[in-house]
Amino acid sequence: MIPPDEKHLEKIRRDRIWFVKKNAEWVCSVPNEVWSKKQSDFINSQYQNRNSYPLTKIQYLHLIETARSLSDRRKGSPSMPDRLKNRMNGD
Amino acid sequence: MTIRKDSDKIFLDGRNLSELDRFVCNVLDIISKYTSYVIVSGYVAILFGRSRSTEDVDILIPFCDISLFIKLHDELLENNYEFLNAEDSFGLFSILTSGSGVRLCEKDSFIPNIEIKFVKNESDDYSFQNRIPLIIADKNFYISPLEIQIAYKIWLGSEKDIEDALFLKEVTSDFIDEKLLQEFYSSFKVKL
Repeated sequence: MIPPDEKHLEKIRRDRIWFVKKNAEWVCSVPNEVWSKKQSDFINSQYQNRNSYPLTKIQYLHLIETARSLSDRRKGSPSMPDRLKNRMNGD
Repeated sequence: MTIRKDSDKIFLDGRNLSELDRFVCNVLDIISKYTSYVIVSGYVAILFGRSRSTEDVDILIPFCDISLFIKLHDELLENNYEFLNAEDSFGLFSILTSGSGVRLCEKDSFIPNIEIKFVKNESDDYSFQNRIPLIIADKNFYISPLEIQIAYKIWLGSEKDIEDALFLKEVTSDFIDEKLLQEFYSSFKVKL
């Protein structure tokens, strides 16, 4: 299979960012009861299928470890602002 | 969305709780008997309305001694929870002290699960020391301060993390300390 080219991946990224902004705009524009009802309906439908996961516990843990090791997500901790470092050290 | 702030607490009045929220609340009710905690990462964005679910909820707890951990472990098991890691309480404690997380779930149902880690670095410590009570339907969720949460998610750098950060910043913009956020951006060398 030929992976999608960088231009296509960039378009997908932009589309997703656009959606996140539109979704945030909508969440801000309606009462808490409205967005949370939609959100909980969506989450609950996944929750009800939680036992249909096609992996065992061990396979799931292995999957997570493998995904983490392959991920380009940064690991560790960024450097904290000096002002807050001092506060943490009690200075 | 209506966010109400009263002293150090944030209220999301009228927000419905999902099954995922109830699962988290039930676990946190037990954990809170033994230790303080702070919720970090993606679930914070979900609490504020991000339209996605999650398989795991990340929480940090301060280092504790093994006797306290065993009490917590035993009560969780008595309440029909289990740890995914195939270890006894000593093994789980050893995983925690090594800096890794242990995963807690309802018995025989490993999704969703809660990944528990000890506070282990400066950013964890800041999130824990400055945690914010978020009140939803009379339930308390202690969450990481929004400013570090947004900057940290950008720093992590995956598409999902950046989208969570963007969403959180958009919906909580009136409650964010912009100067503090910029301070984190600068220190973490990130920008949204």
